[in-house]
Amino acid sequence: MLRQLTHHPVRMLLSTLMISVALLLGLVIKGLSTGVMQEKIRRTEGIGADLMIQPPHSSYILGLGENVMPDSLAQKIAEVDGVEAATAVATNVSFTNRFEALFGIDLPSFNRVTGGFEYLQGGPFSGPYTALVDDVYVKTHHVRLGGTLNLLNHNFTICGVVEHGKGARVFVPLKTLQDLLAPGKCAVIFVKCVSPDSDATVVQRLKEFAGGALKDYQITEMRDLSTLITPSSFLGLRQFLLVIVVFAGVINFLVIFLALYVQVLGQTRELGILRALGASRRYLLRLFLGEACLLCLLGGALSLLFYFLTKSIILSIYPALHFLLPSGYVLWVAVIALTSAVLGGAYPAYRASSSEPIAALTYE
Amino acid sequence: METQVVQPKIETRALTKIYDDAPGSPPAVNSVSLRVPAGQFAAIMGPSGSGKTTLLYLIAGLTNPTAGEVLIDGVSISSMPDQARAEMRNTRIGFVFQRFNLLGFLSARDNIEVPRLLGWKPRRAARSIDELLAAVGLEKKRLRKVNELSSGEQQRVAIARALINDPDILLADEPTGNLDSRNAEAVLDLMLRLRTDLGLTIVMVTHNPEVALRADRIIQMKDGCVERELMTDEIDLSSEGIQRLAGHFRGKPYRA
Repeated sequence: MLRQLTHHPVRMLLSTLMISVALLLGLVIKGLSTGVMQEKIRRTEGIGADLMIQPPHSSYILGLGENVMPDSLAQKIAEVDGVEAATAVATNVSFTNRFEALFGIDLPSFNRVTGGFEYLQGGPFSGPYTALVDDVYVKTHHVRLGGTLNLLNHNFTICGVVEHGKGARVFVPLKTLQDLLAPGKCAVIFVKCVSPDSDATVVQRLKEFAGGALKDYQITEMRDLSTLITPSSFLGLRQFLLVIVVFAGVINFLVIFLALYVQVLGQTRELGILRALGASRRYLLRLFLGEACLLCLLGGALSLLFYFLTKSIILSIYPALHFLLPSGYVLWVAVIALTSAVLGGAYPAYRASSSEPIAALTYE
Repeated sequence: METQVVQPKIETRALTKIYDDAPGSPPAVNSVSLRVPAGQFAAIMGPSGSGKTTLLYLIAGLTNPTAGEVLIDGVSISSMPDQARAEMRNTRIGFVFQRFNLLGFLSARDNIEVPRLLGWKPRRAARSIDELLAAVGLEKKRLRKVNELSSGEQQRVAIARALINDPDILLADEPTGNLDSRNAEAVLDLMLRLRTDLGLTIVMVTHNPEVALRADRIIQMKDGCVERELMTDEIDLSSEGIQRLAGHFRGKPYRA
């Protein structure tokens, strides 16, 4: 079978390449979106809070929510039984150069909830227009301590470089961000419980707090975050990925159909010889369907190779991005690809198996 | 005294093949009944369009008869399903074509191996490819692509391929038709030697009376029918005799 394929190396190579490119598209988009989401989860979990309170219908992707909650709520929540500390955070997405979440934080309460920053260089905010950045941001944006950041059309001086993993890569004083966006408002309140085991009890108390003022708010236990941040967190991403995979399947079907159909037409004589030598219809059917699957597997293997190549190229240009390809997704793509390969190979295989030896042997 | 009836290796019963289903089309083979005993070397002769090759294809089970049947060792292959007929072609029948019909992108050795790869179990202990290459005198060219071999060598590869599964029947469609006289002689000698060594039953189509005379029996066809049958040991093989035989195949009456 392999020799049959290698008999036309250019055709085989082109078919394999086309299949691999079609599959690659789905793999890269899935790998990138999952990687970025996982990184978001890690960063949010890294904040160290036990609960996260957001306005109704907010996105779990921090930075995508609106600053509509009064920040004074944080102070009141901190007084609820079982709550150790609470901190209000205003958020914004910076599109300067790259998509980055920006946190406006009240440093003392933020430190109480998160355990504080680990400063690699510099120190805490030294004025309203000062900013903290994490080490990944420094590396990817080529900025330095004492440098200037332009955020929301205002210049901020970098006063400290901190260890990454506290929710965002850039932090500015809460008051400053509120003045620029929505005075007195925040997008999320992080809560630290006295005991992590009492999260559910505290959630219940918060729901009943102030006569049910928070009953419509989203109160999320941070340990559940990984199950909540999924492709559906991004509007239409799940559907988009589905379309890409179906598209890859259709391309796979067409490529295999065309490659094998041309092969059957071009090898009429050879098929006649095989039939004359004792190849049954079933054997030829198996041969061509096997060839379709082999082409698909080669294309699939090549697409994985290209995926890792693409990943390393992208990461060398954008080191802050993350890739994660779930094995379940790879399996799903493999099933779609193999199904489309079998469907694509079915008609050419049927044509080959139906060839009459005499008609084929007298074919010139 | 009771006469013991020996079952022929190959038998055709009122075998008819019409290629074109349109009414009035002449049959390519018309009600041919033949019995070829085991071990016999039969040559089929006749002018172009007389139905020789079609008869051979019908015996090989490469096409279905319009009427009648072909029996191998008393078993009808005409009514067999495709799987069984394919197995019969692979394990019981070797076929040598006039145009060799080798797979050009494979070596001589790989071409010989092809029938082994079609999923059937050989009836007897497998004959080794090297043994066959030696038998046809091509052991030194085993790895050469068949397209690089001379026509005589290609036909020898085709014969070796036909014998790889140790068949008991060899069908040959003008095996010397595309060869010069020296190569034709070598191929014919090889077939005769293999027939003796392996106990093959051979049915060969040929245009050449001299080639036909090497067979045990000559079957003369015309317009799809068997016109005459001769045993070659009854023929005067003197030069003049052969001339008369050649004339006979051109339509003149033959007198031994």
